[in-house]
Amino acid sequence: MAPPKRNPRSARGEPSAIRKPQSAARRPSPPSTRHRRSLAASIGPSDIVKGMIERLHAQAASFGLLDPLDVEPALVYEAEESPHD
Amino acid sequence: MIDRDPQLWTLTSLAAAIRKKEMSPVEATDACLARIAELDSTVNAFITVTANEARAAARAAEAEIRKGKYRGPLHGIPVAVKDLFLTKGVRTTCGSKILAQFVPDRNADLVERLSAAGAILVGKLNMHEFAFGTTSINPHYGAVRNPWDVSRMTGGSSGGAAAAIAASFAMLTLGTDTGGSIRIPAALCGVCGLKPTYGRLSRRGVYPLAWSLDHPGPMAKTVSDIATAMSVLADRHPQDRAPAARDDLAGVRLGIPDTYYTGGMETEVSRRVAGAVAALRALGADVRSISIPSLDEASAAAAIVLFAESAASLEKWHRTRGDELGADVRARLDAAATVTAAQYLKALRVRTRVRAIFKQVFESVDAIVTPQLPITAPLLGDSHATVDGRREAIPDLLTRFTRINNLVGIPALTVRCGFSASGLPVAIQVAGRPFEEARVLAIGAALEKVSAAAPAGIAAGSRFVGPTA
Repeated sequence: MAPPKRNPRSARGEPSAIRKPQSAARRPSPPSTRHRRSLAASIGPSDIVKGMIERLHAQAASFGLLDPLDVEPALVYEAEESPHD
Repeated sequence: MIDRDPQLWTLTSLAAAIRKKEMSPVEATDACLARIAELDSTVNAFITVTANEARAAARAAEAEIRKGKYRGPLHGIPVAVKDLFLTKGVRTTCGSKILAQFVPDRNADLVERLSAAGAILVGKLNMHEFAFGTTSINPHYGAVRNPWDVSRMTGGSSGGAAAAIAASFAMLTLGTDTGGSIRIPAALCGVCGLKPTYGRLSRRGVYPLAWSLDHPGPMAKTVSDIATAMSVLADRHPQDRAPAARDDLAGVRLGIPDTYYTGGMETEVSRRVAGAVAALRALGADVRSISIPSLDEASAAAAIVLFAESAASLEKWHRTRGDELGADVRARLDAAATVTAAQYLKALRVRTRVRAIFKQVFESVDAIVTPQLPITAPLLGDSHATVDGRREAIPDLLTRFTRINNLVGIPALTVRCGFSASGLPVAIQVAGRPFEEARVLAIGAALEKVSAAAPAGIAAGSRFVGPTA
């Protein structure tokens, strides 16, 4: 159900999503390979997701095997170009 | 004397009228709110309309101006922002169900700048959920419809921001652009949009999608309007050397890439873009063909960086509230979670290489001119389009010519350069060196002066809800 429109002051404070106490069932576990495996399992039959994954990994494969000496590693964007962050 | 119809205003013309007291902020705000009330049930550009707050702010602006306290060109101007800019006391949904009741206790920096300049916020704009998509077909707040043809999409993710300008609901809007999210809807809706240099405008208080690709920026009816907005939103930068305003482009070196941006376009887009390039040449520009290697690789790297960083930034909602996400965004996040660290790091290395390539290209040209999109606005229900005999997913088509400039972080401007036979806007993209927004805007302004105006007769068409002035 869509939330009501044109009701700019319908609530205040943090989003309910943030306020809501997390039950044990909903509390996120630390990131782990188990999460990725279970996520992959939950993806299951969705052809759309499978298609996206195939496409993403094909794009990543297009980088080939980069020569370690070819370019300097860039782990972060240059800080001087982001004065506000 | 300015006309009373918002369809005939630009930010620049309205600002002049307000400064000269030919138009009051209250009258301008009421006129925009009346258009929203009349037409937004069709366009669906807004998630929240702040009518009461806008009227109060307009009255305050009017009182100040009457007393001679004119703050500058945004004083009394109706504006709106994409619903991922934090707004104190006004809910900020990010187009999501999850944040439907989120009311921030502070403003984003850019919202604060608009407020300090005396601009009047008329509302928060509809968008693709969490900005992670290019259609602005939102499962929670409804699809944004293109004002040029309401059976067609606006593109996204800042679809509401573009539609609000095209429909004259506001004279300036703010969007964000991570893979094209300002330029795609600007092009499909026939308005101007600027993705500034990475880091040029503050992102504090802007909900993130992909940290190293996110760029907030303005959208408006004309290049001059965008320049006015940037004078308020950005701090002066020593590298942003504003060229003297002039009507010709004599001596300006424009590069036209000889690959990647050349094929796979609708015929009418190719024709209008060729016409724009000819117009630039006629204005005296030194138009030359350039080779930019590795663009396919750059495009792939942009996708990997976007998905990897989105997986990280939206992980909390994906893991804990995934069932409340729209199906398309959830599918993207499912896929994004499979990108490996090695793939991400290799994409960053590709970015470093591509940025060096662009730096070299900009030694021989002042700007790079390309088509903005290969297609005109698709129908709302379409998922694929066949262009040049090849069937492609619409999101892939929409981001093909945009996302490399996010990867490189250079400023890129969308300027309308004509219309298709069916009256849909076509745009070109002008990209420049980092922090040279002023040069990019000067080129866009010169082109805008010689580009075709809205086709006669369209304004009276039943499908049409608002021309750009």
